[in-house]
Amino acid sequence: MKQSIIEINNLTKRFKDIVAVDNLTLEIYENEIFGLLGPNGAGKTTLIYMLATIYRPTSGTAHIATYDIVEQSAKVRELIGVSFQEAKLDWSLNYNEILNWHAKICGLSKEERQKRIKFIVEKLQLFDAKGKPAYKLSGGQKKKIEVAKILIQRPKIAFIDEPTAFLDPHIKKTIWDLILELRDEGSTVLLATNLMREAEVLCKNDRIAIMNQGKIIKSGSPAALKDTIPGGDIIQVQSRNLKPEIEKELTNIPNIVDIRINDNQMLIYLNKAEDVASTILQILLQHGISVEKFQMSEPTLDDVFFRYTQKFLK
Amino acid sequence: MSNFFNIIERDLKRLWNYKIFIFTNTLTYLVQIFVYAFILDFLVSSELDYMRFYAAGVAILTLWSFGMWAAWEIADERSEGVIDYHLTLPLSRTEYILGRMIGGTLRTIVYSIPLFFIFLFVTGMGSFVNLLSIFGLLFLFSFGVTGLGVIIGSFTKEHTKLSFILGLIDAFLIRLSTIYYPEYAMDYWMQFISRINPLTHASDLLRWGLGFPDNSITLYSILFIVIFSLILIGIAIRVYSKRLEGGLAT
Repeated sequence: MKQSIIEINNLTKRFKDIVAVDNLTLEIYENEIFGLLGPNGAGKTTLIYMLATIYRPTSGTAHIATYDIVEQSAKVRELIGVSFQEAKLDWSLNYNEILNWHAKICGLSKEERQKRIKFIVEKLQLFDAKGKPAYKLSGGQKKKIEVAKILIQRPKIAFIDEPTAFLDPHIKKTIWDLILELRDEGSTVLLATNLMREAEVLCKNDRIAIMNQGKIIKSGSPAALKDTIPGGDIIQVQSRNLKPEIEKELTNIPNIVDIRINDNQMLIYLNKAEDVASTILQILLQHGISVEKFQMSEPTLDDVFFRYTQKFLK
Repeated sequence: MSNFFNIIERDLKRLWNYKIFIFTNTLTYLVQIFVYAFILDFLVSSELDYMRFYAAGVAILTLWSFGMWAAWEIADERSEGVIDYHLTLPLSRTEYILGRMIGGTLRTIVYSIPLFFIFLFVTGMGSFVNLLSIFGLLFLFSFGVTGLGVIIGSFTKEHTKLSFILGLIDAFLIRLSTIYYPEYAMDYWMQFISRINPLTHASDLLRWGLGFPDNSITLYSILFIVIFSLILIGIAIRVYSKRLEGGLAT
């Protein structure tokens, strides 16, 4: 039984006429990476700002480890850490001063601070930035320092907003590994991202939610969400002797949504391809079709994202 | 509690952040003390030792200017989002706000002390005991002024608007105080406003501290500085706290 660590009930945040978060209810379990996907302006950052006690909700409640985010905000802040979408750094300080002060205020001892800063600086290759004040750094370097703060802090609950924006693929991979380590060491991570690949890697064994116009439209494990797309799986068959009558027989399989035959290629759109793939292959072989290629592919999170956000994007 | 000191430490670490501001303020101060004060003393035909009178007013003005810098700092931190980051740190809002205000006040004091010694060099020490006794009041005054800066910075982060507001406050408060001229040289309505102006009381206290013959310390001036500072500190904590809790982006 999974224990919930963040409980959000009918949470709303209005900015004058704009409803940034709209009556949102959500539960996040302890020790999971919960991915929040959504187009720009969906309300992801506002939700994080409320949970991080920066914004006061217009209505509704949220509890973090049983602490109310409004009534017991100081207690909440003892448990959380935030990595912002845009780096929030003291422009005149260098990375060592920024990270050391952050770690100090988060209660790390001098030895622990030095050890963790050294480790993260090496991992994120921050050496180029040594001694330079933050205002002289590139966008990528600033972003690395922003992420480094939370990786050094290792809070019980981490709110991470777009952790790898502006970063090169190599560093992206390193940060993903470090976030996974953070989870494995016991932290709960609420990750807001626009990068489907990022959500795919980090939330693989956990859950994601699609957010739009301040509401959660759909949530679940990445695999479960992919399965919600009717005909989202595709089986591609390549053969020189494809027969039109095969289409009729295959349509009897309930999982199949659509079949398209074009020259030597047949595309079968279906749900849960893994359940019926062997049956399809058997039918093809029974009809004497010489199968040259039989390839299964599942929908990507991009497909899920587009499906659940397209009516809003239109 | 230790994080309260960490907040102060941060402000002190950033002591030399605003080098241009410190430089221009120091330069203006020196020019006022070493050039204007002498010229004006020569021009003003009065029994008053105008050079010393003017220098004391300018010293308070510099303290005021350093304290009010908090408005720019808060406004900048709001627009850069640094305050959003601070609000997620493990400390209470009161600890944070008080820490910021004390940090700001200590910086004001650090900036002002060297200038103050120059000032004493020019004007002479006067009564050491008097001078020492008003230091506490001037610290409280700096604290109050920093509070006022915090209040103003909490309401606007636009530089143009902020410039206008601060300019307006300066224009009224400085001209309608005894910073540049004694009360008896003012019209009756100006005298009235001057008596409810913190700059008047702060500069009069400093003049008393310097042993000016015309300036006797009044309980009213002492109480005014104490009440003005405490009220501003209280309002700053309340306003800033409310602004922070409501979400500064709103």
